Amino acid sequence: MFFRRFLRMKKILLLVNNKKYKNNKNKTKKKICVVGVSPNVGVTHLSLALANFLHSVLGKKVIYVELAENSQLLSIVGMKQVRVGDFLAYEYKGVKYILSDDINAIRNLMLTENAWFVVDIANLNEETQTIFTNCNNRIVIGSLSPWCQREYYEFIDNLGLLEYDTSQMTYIKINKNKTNQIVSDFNSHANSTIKEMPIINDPFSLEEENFKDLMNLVR
Amino acid sequence: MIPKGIEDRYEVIRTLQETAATAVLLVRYKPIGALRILKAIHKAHPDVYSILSESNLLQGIKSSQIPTIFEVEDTEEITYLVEEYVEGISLREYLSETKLPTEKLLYIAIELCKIVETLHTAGSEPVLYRDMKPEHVFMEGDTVRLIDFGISIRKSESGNAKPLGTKGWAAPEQLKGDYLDERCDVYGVGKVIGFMQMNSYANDDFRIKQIVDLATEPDVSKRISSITELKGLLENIQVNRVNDKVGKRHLDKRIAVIGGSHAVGTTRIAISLCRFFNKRKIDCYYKDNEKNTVRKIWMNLKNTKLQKGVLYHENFRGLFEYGEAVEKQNPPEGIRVIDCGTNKSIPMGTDIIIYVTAGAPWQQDEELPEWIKDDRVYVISNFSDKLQSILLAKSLKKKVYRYPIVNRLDISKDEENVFSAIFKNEKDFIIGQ
Repeated sequence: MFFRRFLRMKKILLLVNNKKYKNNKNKTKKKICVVGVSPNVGVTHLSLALANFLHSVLGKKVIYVELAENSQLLSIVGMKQVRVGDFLAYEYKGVKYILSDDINAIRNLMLTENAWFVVDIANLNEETQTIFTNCNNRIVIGSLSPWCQREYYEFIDNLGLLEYDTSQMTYIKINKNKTNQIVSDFNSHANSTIKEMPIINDPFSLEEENFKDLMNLVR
Repeated sequence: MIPKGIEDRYEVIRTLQETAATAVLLVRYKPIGALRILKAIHKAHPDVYSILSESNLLQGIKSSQIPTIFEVEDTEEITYLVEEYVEGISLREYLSETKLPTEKLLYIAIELCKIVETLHTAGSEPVLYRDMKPEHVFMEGDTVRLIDFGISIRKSESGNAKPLGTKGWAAPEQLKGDYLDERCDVYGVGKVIGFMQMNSYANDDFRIKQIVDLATEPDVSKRISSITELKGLLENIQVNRVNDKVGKRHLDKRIAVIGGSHAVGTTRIAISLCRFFNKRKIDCYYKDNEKNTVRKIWMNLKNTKLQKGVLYHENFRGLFEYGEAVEKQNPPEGIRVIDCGTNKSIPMGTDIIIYVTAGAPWQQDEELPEWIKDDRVYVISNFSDKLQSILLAKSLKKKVYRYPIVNRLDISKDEENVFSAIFKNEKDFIIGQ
């Protein structure tokens, strides 16, 4: 009798603790980075959609970082200048954009600024990996086409992505019609479930149909 | 001080006002026997330009509610102007004799807006009246007229204009000599409406009070931006009152739920009210003015659906406030329940207010809003016992609805009973049990 009660109490306590943990996890400010296995897989498109979703739908304070010196985004977002820490940034539709390749300064900003970060890492290498490591939600985009999948595997292995906490890694494939075998092979290699790239027409004018996919990526 | 050479045309009836260098005379125009006003000023007087300015300004403005100018003449020493004599009594005198019904108040206010709108849209550039006060508004039967354009100017002259005006009636920026635009007259009209409201049966009407507050906002940037906008707001109330009388059922009502202090259950009551209407097949949408309630419901509740900017969950429908980076949605038609939190500033266009207060000593209101006695304000006492509710009702001299204790997410039967009791007298809401 006593043992049963003890088990029941333990179960209740565990449930309460899990719930608390879940809530706190959702409330933590996140640093999201998006990297591409190869160029032109839609890293900037998805990063912009995530940043705009976080601000315009979830109401978060968002700083978007593009690790590039000469960004093409400037012509779109560069109308209004603002200051973020020591950076000259641009504000567009509520999101603040920092377009810089100064890795150390950005790393420091990510440690000090109280905001959600979305980092577009155009090229993941030893230098930019410090930013990648500093993030707690890492999204990797690549193709599982037969002529590209090897590149995806090599990218994961060469940069040691398997050593990161799998709960903080999200793998995305850009093409849909792949056989189950290719996907399951990849999942077992990456110890994760690869997701499909969400279809977003315009990252600056999101549609309600996009919210579910973007919410899954943010969580 | 009578100008020489006018005797053949004018007979002086009475001197209305006279100083050493100025005079305002009531005269009879002999050829047709009509009464007219003659304003004379000595040429050495520094304000001699004002008579010329008045005649210049009023030329070309076609309105039967503004006095007609017949002539402007110069003699050796005096400049004088002859204008139409406006019969009737000033608004100040009128209000000392009459307590205005709401309809009449709205009528006069809208007519006044129309006159000022004529001035603001006259000719090549707006004319700023600058001297709105009850003494200058004349009631000629049902006709409202505006007199005395002595300190009126064209908008482009406002940079060099003297800081003239009547203290207590003129806009603060006008008395300070700052740059002026049409909003200085919005302030003046707002002051006159406020004055009328004090002497009317609409003294507790929060909708008129809200418009007066917005029109007489000392900060120009926060003030109602034009006389046309002010007129539109007044016309909305006028139309609503007509609809109220004929019992027309219209579902664009706005219900503001305002809490007396924090944690009195304002959000809970607003959400339950929304569920209450939707359960009865009356489209109703919850809108949050202060917090992110709809967003939080979406993130934390299962079985929600987002569609065209509306969050659906069982009988709840909430308007999701998206940022700029989401495609624009057209707001749906239906009743709006606006959760104002503890913000006592009534949202524009509000038809009904539900004021929530609580019984605990630390939740008592320090000061009750002055609009609480309005017939369209319903008071709900939450977390309080029967005695506290009775005491509150006695002090307010109006019915107080005691809200039941609730311990579940969905609307309870007891809550429905409270809302049914509140809305049974509202013609627009056909409430079935």
